Amino acid sequence: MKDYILQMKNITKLFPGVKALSDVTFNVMRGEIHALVGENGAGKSTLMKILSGVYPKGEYVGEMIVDGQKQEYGSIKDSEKAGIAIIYQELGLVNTMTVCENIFLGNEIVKNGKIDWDTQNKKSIELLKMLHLNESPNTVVEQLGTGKQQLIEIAKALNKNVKILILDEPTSSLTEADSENLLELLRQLKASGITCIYISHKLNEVLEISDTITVLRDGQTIVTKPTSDMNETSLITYMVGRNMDECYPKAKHEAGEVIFEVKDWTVPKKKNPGQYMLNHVNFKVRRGEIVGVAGLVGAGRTEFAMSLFGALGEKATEGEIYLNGQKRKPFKNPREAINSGVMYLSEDRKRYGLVLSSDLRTNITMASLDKISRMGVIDLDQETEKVGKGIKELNVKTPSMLQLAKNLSGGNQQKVVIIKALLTEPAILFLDEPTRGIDVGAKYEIYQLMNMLVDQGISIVMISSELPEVISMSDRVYVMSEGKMQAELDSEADNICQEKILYYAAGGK
Amino acid sequence: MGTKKLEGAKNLTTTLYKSSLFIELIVVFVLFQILTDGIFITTRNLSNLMMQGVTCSLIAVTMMLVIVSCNADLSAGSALGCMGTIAAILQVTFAWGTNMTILAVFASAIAIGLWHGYWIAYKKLPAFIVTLATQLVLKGLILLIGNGASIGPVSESFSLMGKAYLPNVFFKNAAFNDLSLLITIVLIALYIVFSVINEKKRISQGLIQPNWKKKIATLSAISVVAFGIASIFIFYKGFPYAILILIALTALFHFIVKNTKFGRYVFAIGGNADAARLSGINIERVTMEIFILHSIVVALASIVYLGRVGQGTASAGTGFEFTAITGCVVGGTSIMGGRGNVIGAVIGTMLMASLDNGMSLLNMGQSSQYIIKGLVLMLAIAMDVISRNKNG
Repeated sequence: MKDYILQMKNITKLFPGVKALSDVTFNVMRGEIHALVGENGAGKSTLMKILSGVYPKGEYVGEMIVDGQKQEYGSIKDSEKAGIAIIYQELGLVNTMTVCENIFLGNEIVKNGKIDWDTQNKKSIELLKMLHLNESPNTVVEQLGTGKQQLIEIAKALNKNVKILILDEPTSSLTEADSENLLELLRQLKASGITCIYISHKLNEVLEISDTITVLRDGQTIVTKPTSDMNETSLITYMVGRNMDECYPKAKHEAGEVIFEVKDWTVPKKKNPGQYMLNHVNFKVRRGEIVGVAGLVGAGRTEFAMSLFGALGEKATEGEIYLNGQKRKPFKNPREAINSGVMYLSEDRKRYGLVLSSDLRTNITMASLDKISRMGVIDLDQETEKVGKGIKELNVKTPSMLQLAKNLSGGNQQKVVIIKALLTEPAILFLDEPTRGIDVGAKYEIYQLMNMLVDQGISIVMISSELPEVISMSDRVYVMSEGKMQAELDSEADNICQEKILYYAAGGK
Repeated sequence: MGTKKLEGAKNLTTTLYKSSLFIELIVVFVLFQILTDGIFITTRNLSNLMMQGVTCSLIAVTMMLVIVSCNADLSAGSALGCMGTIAAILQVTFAWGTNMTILAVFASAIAIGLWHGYWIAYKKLPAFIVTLATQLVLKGLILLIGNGASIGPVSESFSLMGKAYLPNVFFKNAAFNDLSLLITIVLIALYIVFSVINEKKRISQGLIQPNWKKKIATLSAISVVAFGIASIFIFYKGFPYAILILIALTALFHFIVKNTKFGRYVFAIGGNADAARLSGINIERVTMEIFILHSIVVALASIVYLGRVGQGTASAGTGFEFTAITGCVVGGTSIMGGRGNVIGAVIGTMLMASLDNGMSLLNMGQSSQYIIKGLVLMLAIAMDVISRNKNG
């Protein structure tokens, strides 16, 4: 008889028009790190939301046994009481509150009707020490980096005497060093008897950290096996249901003349005058090439793209832009940039890319209505035709273009925003983390698409934190560090490798 | 087994929510018909009811755009009152002609729209507070220029839009209004023809699965109901111009919402302002346009209203914004932005007018009327938010 801390049996969950989970079985042994993997839309997050009570009883079918007890949660509070804590992809901290306030949020220690700050601070310090986090409990959370914020989340969970800790893509926005710290911490937690469910797209991490792996595909359990019996290839085969020979489609691009150039681009920080968000950045793009922009989180890559695109609140104080060899004024707003053939796709497609409550057609033509309108009236036939073509070419999985954007999986949503960008007929396309949170199959499709676009003469600037992706896909790589362009590497001349990029990203010269 | 049950329950909730407006209408009508001993559903009362509801329904047409863009306008009622007072003074004290008066009303409407747009769109002040401030300012203005007195009567030609009916053209002595009948038949025929053409096109473009049985059932039901409502006027005094204005304005804005860049942008801004901005949408300009358009429609409503009551009063328009906002929400406009439709907003507002009318027929006191209307708004918003949360 195995010692299971959690058994989920025959779990089925429906969304309008979609069967998210179908008869899923998921068993976790006490004290192990159990990885849950699968492509986007495979049902991992849904399963975890049932476990943590986000979808309460009645909204799903099936049975759940936690620590030998049959459980049905009416709310998140119930699952927390049972010792289950979930740490989401998107952090659940209140940015404007302090570390201590966040750790005890909802679980304040109250003495005589008021919060006992002394005890709370003392306990916070203990927790922070345990996590090797050298910060004061009175630090405001927004002043911390993403990696540290993640640790505060874990501190919050530990404070609730957690038995099962669920981590949903914990390293997706962490730098390599922070990820390594986190994995080390998980091993410590395991040693102290905490069971951990680990959801991640990063297969090397999964193989490194977990004891057991369960693979979900299309809402069904495909396999549960000890990690020692798995390797990356077999894992990918289980996930996609087919063999994946290559992760990156190699292609050789013939770069043309320089079509976009930025000189001495400088943006000061509004809140801290004298400091620079971007510091004398020089940057150029040739026709028909993929330019990678690497760097640690916070190096200023997104800010750089946004400021060029005219979408950053802070304006450049110095710097020149050359478009097709002609000097021009910086773009005042995204409209100007789009009209000049420059398009930017955000790393956060839900927040900055999609109108989730609108249908796909509306989303896709949102940035290019000028091209299909006369006197402000949209030619709906032409719109439907263009959108239909895009959906077919990029293989978006959707029953209809009238489907709401929120009902699509991450990979398909990403394709939708890419179609939107392409309909603006850009000459230079900035893709910020284009494959973040996307499954292996969709990633491959997006890489192929990037190669195809470049062959058509479009230039792509790809900002990415995934080093293998940057190295394999780019013709040239810029490495940013603290608002500066630290290095420019050529894929042929410089023999780019992860170590080299990390060296420059950490500020090396 | 179990999954089927779940699916069924979900479908039922969705259907209930989608048809909630329809169900509410039936409940309100049946209830009042019983409570008023059959006075409520008479051609005379229904015709009156709709004439009373027309002003707020006009406001609701663009109030819906304001709400969809995640804004609000609490000043619509006092703006209506203020523009009415201006028109009445120009007509009575300064003896201006009808055309000049109307021009002046629209000019002041644009001024109010620009004022709101400047603060809300360009200075990023919350619409809720800006329009609350305007509400007070305009109330003050009404008292200042009108001295709190009733000003009237306005000229005959001015009141045409508010209270005149379509004349009989062919059969002068018929017991029904022939022109209204003709317009009704033509409009319903056009509606059916365009719906069928549109449906065919959507099927051929692969947008929807063909389901002609359902489509024919919907079309006939809507046509019968539309004819039923129209016959209230046909067999009474004919269509009032005010109702024709409402129909035309509703159709126009339905088109704007579905088929123009401006309409798409309004929904995009309300659905996700950040994404809209990065798609190159000029949020400031679109917001400014919403408030100018809305103000112009409020001006139109004020002209219709003043024409009907004949004189400007200090209390004119009080609470109209409330009726329009409630009507929008009852009619499916989401108070959280990004979702709504014009026809629902107009029907929702007419439902609120029915509530008003029915409660007055029952001689209910002002106090209970306020309480009931407040609770209806609360309930409508609760349904909106809960349904939105349920559907993720």
